[in-house]
Amino acid sequence: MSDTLIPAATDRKPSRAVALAVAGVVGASLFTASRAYAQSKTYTFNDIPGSGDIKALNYALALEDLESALYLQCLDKLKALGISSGILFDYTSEFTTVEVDHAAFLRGAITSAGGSGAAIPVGTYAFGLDKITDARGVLEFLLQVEATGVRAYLGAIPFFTTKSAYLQTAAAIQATEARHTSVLTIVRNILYPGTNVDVAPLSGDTTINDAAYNTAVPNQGNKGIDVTLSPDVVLAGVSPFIVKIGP
Amino acid sequence: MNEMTEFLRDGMNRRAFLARMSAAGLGVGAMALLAGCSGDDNNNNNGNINDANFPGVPGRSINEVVLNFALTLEIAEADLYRQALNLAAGRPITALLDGQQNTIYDPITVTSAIPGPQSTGAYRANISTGGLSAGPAAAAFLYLVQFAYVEATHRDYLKGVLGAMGAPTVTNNAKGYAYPTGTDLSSLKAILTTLQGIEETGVRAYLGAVPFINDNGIAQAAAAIYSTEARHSASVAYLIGLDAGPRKNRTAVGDKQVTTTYPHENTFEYFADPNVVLSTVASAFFVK
Repeated sequence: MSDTLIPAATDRKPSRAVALAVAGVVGASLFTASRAYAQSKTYTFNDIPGSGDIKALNYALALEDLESALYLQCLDKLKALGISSGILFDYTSEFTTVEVDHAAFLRGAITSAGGSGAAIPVGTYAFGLDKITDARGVLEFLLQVEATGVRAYLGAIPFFTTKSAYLQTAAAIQATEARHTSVLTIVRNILYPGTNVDVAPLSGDTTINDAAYNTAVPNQGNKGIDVTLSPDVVLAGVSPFIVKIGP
Repeated sequence: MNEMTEFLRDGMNRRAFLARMSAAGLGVGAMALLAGCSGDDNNNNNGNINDANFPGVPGRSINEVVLNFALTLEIAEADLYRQALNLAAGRPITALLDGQQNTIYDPITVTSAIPGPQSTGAYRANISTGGLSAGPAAAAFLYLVQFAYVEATHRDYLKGVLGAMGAPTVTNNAKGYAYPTGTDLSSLKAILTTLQGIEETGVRAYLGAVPFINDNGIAQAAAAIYSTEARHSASVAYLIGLDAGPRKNRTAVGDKQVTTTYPHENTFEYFADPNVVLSTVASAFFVK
């Protein structure tokens, strides 16, 4: 297996990216912030081990591994903030279970298909949650990561083999990420009214710029559909949070 | 309990549902669709590859057939949303969406009429909330407006894609679409309960079509629509007090799983076979 996604441990400090995400700065997505403030290696799709479907599945697993770790840490963070009930805690808890399920399923599928060692190892992540001081910060961070997950799966589709037996299952995961995104958006709008955001892509949305999203499907912003993000864009966005991959 | 309610409710046996539809004389359109779409459905069968999984759906290739399958559903869904929005806004049920011209199936050409973020445009709620409190009721009407436009845009998008491919393109059912007699559309909550069931069917339809697509670009475009249907369903479910899902509950279309065992009910989405979706939707909503 490739070891290109197994970097030496580094002292990652994604505090700037997290701060921007938490602050909800308009136009400063997880990605623009991360690209600007990445501390070390920026991973690309070439760093994902395997080929064909295994590579595409490992890409999905890399993101699910990170996402499930984030959810688990966010649950702990909410508890540390004295929050152990209510809609934010309840949905964070529920979605943690789902994301852990996704990661475990993908790891098992890759191992079944490619044998022992085919799956990308479990990672260690530093999300800078210590810099977050309130529940809203946790929620905003989760929202950005979920929204990224929806787009990341769409962006991965071209990398599956044609008529891949895995594509339907990957799609069955992708839409759950979309549900999570919308539910967390509603939670946000309920808990922090006044700056409500929309729960789904709109028709005629002119704020979506195809070039910025590096999409393979043109003019998505005007079609009321989810936009895609290419794997390289996604990996650049999450790279600052990766401390190491593997033991 | 009427047919539509049964379509929406958990625990509905598909066979019983279809039998009831047939007994009610509502299976004619579905049978026409299954038989090759002659007559009322106005499908263009030029170059139809006659894939048994998509009975009557035109297309020179399986990809075109899948896109026409999606368009068949989006045309119906967009029109059902348009009708629901008109009901909720106190407008005539035949009224066009603001921004449409000439007929209810025309594309939205006056894009300035499309409501922007967090806006209901010129639409105002004029219906009972059905017990929703002020906040959820406002959100419910907002979603109704937004999703009505999004579904119309999905329809227009798919038509555009098929047109660009030079593909035969399915047209609207000649006699239109309607909620079955007796469907409760008397309040915002009732309307959204109905639409949430339709959205769930849409999610299953797209996911069920994925294995047939042999072009990943087409799969990507379809998936980008599919996940918005999931967003719609989850959002509406939240407002009306249902689990946001995924939930295994669409027995009318025969819920199927992408893997034998789901660790939890909401780990993965569920899907339905295209021919089952077509027959069920046609039975329920195509005017004969």
